[in-house]
Amino acid sequence: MGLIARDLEAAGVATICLTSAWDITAAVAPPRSVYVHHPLGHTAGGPGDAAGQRALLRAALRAGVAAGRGEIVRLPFRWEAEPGWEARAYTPEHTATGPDGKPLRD
Amino acid sequence: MRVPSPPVGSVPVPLQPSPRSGLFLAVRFGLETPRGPLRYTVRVESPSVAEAKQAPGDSVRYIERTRRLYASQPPYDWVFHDRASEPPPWSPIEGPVARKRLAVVSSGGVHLAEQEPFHFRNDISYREIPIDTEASDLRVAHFGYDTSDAKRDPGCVLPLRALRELSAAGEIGGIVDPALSFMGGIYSARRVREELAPRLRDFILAEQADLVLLVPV
Repeated sequence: MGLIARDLEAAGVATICLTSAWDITAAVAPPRSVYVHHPLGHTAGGPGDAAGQRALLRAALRAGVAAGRGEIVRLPFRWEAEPGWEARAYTPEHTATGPDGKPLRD
Repeated sequence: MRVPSPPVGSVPVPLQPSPRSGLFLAVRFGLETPRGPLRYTVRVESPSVAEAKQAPGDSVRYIERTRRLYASQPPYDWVFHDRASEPPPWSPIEGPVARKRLAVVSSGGVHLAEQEPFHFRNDISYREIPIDTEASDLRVAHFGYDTSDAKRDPGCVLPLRALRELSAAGEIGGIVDPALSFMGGIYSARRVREELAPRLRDFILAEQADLVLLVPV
């Protein structure tokens, strides 16, 4: 998505990336980024949490328009639904499938 | 500078600083002095490497974990932009969001129930999602993250309801309708650059959006 952000911005359209993967975003270096410390798949909030999604979107837009060039701004949200999720994310214990749609063997 | 290339979403393989990748430069030199030789090594890191090191301590190192997790898959073509030599393009935002026409793009693989799902290998298509779509009419197809919560509520990765609410409250000037979604686990950075990005750009320029919210997954 960082490539698309850079493409749009070069065409004259301002962008805000709302990301939950700091390292990937830092590598691609989009123009403006807002980081929320949630597991992948929950960047815009938790399921069914209308108030939380609204608050997060409001905060992301507010922080995003104020971000400097290349900056990644951290939002003050925490993922309470699954304590310790960071240790399991993207490990064989807690993951998705390969691009063939099949479970990863390892 | 082009080094390992990146994905557009949350998926595959590594970015490992090495002298060959040009992520840092070590310069060694020496001086002869009356009291003997002095040897110096000056090591210059690219700003991107420095930035990566500044990642919050609690943030997940997805690049490293996906390298291990997807070891059985073909290597991912990551893109890396050096902030010094390839700084991000920049279009200033002037005036409040309440006066902006906002476009929204999610790479979470969201599509309408009646639309064709995303297939996973290098699918560079996108779907148009009307802003008023109810969650029950949406589906999610993405291989690179745990989609169980997003399938229950696609607002986790494409916050349509929150956008409608902020728009109704006047906090956003307008919303480009439809929103767009694609499946971010694309193994070809070249095809993202040359095919997907121009299509999305054309759509967004035609809609005269002046701010775009991108939600990568």
